[in-house]
Amino acid sequence: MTTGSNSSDSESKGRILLVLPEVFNCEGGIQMFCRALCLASGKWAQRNHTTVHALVLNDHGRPDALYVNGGYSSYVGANKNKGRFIQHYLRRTLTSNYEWIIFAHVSLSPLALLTKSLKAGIKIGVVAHGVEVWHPLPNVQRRALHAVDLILAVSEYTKGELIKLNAVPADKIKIFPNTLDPHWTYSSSTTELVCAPPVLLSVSRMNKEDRYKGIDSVIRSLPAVVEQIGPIRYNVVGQGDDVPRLKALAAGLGVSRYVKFLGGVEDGELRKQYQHCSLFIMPSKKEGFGIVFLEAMAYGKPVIGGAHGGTPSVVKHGETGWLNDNSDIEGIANSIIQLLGDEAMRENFGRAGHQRLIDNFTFERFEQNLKAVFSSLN
Amino acid sequence: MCGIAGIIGNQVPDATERLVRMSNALVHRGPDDDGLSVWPENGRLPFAAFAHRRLSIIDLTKAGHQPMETPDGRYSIIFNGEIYNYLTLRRELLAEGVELTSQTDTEVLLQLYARHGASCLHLLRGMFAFAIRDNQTGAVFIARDHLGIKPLYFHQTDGLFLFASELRALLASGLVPRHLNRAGLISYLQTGSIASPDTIIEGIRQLSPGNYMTIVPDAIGNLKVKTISYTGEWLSGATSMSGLDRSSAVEALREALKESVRLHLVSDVPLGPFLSGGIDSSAIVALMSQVTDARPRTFSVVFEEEKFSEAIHARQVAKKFSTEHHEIHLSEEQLLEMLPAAIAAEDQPTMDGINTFVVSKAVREAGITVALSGLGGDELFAGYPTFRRALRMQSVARFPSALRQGVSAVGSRVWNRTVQQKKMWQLLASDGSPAVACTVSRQLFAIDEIAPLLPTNGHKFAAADPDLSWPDDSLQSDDRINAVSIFELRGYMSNTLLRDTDFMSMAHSLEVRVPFVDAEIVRFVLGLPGAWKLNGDKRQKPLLQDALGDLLPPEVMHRPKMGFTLPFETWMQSRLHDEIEATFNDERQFKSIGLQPDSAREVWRQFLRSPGAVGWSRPWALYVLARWCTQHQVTL
Repeated sequence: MTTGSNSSDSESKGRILLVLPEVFNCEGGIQMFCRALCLASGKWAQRNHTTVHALVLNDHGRPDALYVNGGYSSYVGANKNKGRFIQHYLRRTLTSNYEWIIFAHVSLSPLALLTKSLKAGIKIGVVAHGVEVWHPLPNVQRRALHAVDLILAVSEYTKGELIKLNAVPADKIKIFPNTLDPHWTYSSSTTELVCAPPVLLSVSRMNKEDRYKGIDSVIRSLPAVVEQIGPIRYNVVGQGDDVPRLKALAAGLGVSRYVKFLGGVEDGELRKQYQHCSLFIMPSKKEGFGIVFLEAMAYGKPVIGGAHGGTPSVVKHGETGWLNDNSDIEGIANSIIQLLGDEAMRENFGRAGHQRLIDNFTFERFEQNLKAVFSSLN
Repeated sequence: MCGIAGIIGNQVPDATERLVRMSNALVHRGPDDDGLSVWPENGRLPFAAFAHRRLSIIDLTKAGHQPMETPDGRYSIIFNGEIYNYLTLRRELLAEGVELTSQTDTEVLLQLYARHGASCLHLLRGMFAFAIRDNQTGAVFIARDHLGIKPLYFHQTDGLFLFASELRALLASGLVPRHLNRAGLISYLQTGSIASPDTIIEGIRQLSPGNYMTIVPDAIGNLKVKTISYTGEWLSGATSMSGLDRSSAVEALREALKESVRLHLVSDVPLGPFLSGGIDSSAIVALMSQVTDARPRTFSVVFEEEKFSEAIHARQVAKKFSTEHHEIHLSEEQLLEMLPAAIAAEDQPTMDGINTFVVSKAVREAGITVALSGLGGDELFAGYPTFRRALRMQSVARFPSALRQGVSAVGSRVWNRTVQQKKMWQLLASDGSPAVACTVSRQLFAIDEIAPLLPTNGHKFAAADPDLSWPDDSLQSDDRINAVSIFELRGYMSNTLLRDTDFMSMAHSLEVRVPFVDAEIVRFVLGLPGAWKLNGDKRQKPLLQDALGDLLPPEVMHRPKMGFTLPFETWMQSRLHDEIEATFNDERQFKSIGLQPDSAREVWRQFLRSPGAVGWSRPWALYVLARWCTQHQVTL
């Protein structure tokens, strides 16, 4: 068990408990959400002269101080030890008078059911990200969702699936979009939209279970793209055990020389990649939200996403980019060709995307949304 | 698809007239247009002339006329073939600011060479043989595609260099003595075709597949000729397949095949696949259905003798993919009538290829200019019996060589009646390498059978040493399946199948495209472990079957391999008997090409005594050789 910040002396005064699956152990949309949640609630606690406690199942090591708000929040990682995690949770909930508990993943929600039966007065919220709730849930999770006070869905699509597949009442679900990393600094004015040759960028995990991300669809579209546009560069950032298949696909299609698998890159390099691309593309089939789109929008880049899942909540088709069916190779190729062939469109989409980010998905907006949640629970 | 020819060098009397004669000999390859460029001797630049015969396939306008020059006049090109990825390469050139005036692949190729020189070859997906002259230096660059789909022959003496798409065009120049090449003859007797770089004519050689040549005049008018292979670099550029599992490879292969077929459909004239009903041609039709909405026109030749016909299977495939299917019915009478023309169409003698002549004629007459063929499927996906034989040889080779040779020596004395038995004993006594497995499997006459056919005039002969290696050590690995693939690609496919297909289809001005023999496909498939293609799987071409998934009807996937054969064995004993008998009885004819008439006649007699055991191909090969040499006035 690892702890950070001043946890023990403030336990009795704590009003909010965050129950999180993972925060700093690896990169991903859910981890990003949890980091933002930690920081936003810490800041909220400071303003309200209270504290927030975070209990994290998978993490080990000390938390990143950037996301834990000094004297107003605490952080405890259970290092994947479920027994200790539950023990710690029970001790905290039984001995403290929390007003709110937020579960940041539905898989942790059985604890919410338990808590509701023991201490009905505690208000509980559960975050629903994406694919983890896009199917009929196990009975205990479903009962938990029905028992809690609020469900925070990161996108309209996720909300719809919860209603459709798990019969969650619509008025219990609040849209709560993901946000850009609060420490993600960028300058959209340094961005380049005219690259020679044009550069497509994807940033994604590429394990076998991540095939829905659509990197293979982009590769499949490249023969038609280069036939129309001429040479391009497709930079793929990320790693995973599916990379050999993607490389074979590119080799078989004769487009290897246009595709560069860059592997995992440092933050500075990632920013450069965003900065120097003509467009960002990830025609994902089941994205819960898609923070990488926000990162691209931060740099004023037009994006091509999948017309599925949570992506349409982030990318506005025809305004900030194009949305294509993940399996529609011709459609994806046409979107790329159209965008690469039209500088004005790239600029307009990029500008609109940047504005959309500012209007809806900044960390400040995330904080406001959180404040509204806590107020609504009051 | 066209015909090209050229002359370089001073002191050639009537050089231009000779080139015109060469060009006229290629008229069947390109009936739509012809062109000629002549560069007279100029200071230290020698005389040079290029001729071109055009079969218009892409950009049918005059903009495709050849020889074609760059706008600055620096380079001139003559080109036979198709560059299937020319649209992409064209875009690349435009992006680099090159101005292009036509929609042709020829102009793209010319400009690519002007910008990149020989390394432009690594960018090409297609079938090609072309020559480009640098009009500033007089240097000529000649290249042939990676796998030898298109041919290129040349003749070289001090101060003279001739080249052409067909060997007969070089003969038509009058500058090459019509003498039989002894090494070519032995190669022919060994395999029924002539292995590159040899040809049947003394002094004429082929540019081997995946090679290019430079012909550079020096200060005193001599020509410095260099031949360089470019396939080593091409193969070494293959993506590393490490970490790839078979199911991912199968998925990628399917995409690769679809893409190759898509590229092979680029055409401004009517196009349709041959559909025999076998797995390879059916695969082409199935893949077409995945990449185009156009309804394909498919063609099958149906022989009236049912046992030679695959019509039912072809019909099944045509129905499944709703093709506009054409069955071309041929009677025995019609086939036999075509035979003299088919033999006359042979650019070099070959024991094979008559089928292609027959089918090409029928398809061209049906209004098609470009046909797609499944050629290459057997070589790439381990379809030939040679592959399983090479694997079996691996087990046999574990026994001590003395034991194997002993058993072979005894066995071959007591049980050696048929050609198959003889080959079996040969294999047993050998070192069991994939090279031997291929050589023996493809063998027409064994070395000890060739000796009696040649006059005993004192000197020994050496077995032909064809260029079968691939200049990349990584592929000469322990992987026996891939090793056999390379031998089959470089040997039988390149020297027999592709040569026969080229001249037999060109005889009817029909272009045949071979999507399996695509540079990217071959590079990809050779990069996969051989074990994925055969080991422990009794199905025909399991990797191809898996890549096609459920596209093809199960009956097509699972039926045994048939091949596309004509009833020569029967014909040679009946309708063709008298004609062949007369040829074998003509002693002078065989003597003039350096063969022992008695021994040749004995091959014929043996066949007549036991046709099944001897096989029709041996006497047929000798008969064709004699006829070809007579027709072209070639003697030893």
